[in-house]
Amino acid sequence: MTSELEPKTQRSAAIAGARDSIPFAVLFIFVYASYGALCASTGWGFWPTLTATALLYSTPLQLILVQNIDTGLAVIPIVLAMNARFALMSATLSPYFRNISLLKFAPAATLMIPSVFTACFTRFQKNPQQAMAYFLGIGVPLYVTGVLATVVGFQIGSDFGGTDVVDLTAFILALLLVILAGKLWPQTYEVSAFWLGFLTAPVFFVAFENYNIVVTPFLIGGLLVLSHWQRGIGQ
Amino acid sequence: MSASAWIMLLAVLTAFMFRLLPIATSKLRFMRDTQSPFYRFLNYSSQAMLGVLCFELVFGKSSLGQVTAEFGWLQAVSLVLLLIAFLATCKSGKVALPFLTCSLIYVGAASVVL
Repeated sequence: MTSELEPKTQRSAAIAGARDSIPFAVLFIFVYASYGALCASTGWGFWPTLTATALLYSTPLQLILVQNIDTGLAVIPIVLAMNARFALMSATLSPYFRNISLLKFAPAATLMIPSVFTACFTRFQKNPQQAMAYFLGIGVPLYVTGVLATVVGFQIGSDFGGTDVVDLTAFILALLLVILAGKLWPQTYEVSAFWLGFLTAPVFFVAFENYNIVVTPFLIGGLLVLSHWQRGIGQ
Repeated sequence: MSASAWIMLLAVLTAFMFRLLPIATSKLRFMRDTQSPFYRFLNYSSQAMLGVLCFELVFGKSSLGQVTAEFGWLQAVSLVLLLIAFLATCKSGKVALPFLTCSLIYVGAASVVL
């Protein structure tokens, strides 16, 4: 009975993922087309531009590399710090993928980005069934959109968008992150962690600058675990 | 191979390893329990990271001084809309309505300001 139901539930999880990918995919068209256009206007070749999206698949880091790759070794610590974010996301989702072998997950690993992580985490809190199918369902359409938009943006070149489109895209992406944090309610600690990150980002920026996105979250995470422990809930 | 190509290769390889290797930690005992302090630490840190990312998307990588110096009408509208969208989602559990409404209001506000 279970084996008969499994493909059906896998399919429905994948469809749910694909459905949830739609608002992000619309944004990705603008984000990656802007990136492609920026690369074209700064003299990057087509293949390095496409390779960065296809294999690196991290907009903030790609933008940093386009603007700073000529600075040489100085950019390496930033590259490592930005990539460390992925370890945090993968580790947080790992309990939901415990039945998937490392070898099986490897081809899909590149799909792990903040948008996919947020949508997966929000869903898995309430429905952890068929986690991998949902992960692929949301991740693959976004990846394909990102790659295609990069190609289109590169071909259009500097005529695409401009700062208005970039600002609008950034706001809407932020809006989606906030809405997905709202979906976590009433998990007060998770929601508090999100808003503490938001509110303390400008405060800690003075101390950590480019490493803010890696260091500040761990400080907040540690603080909240301590608070949880003090209240005796974590015991 | 040029220095730029080496840096790109390093970025691609580390991104892949950082994404893949933590999946193996699901086999560890303390990662199986999503109520364990270590897992909570990862969970809260990842949520805080999304909060930082959200701030940077709206205000850029800025200090408190820079934010207050550059704070204008559009930034105020952005903040209010983010808060409204959050509260509406908490209360209703719905995503589409707060998303569409707040996006449209932002587009309207931006077209007035810019």
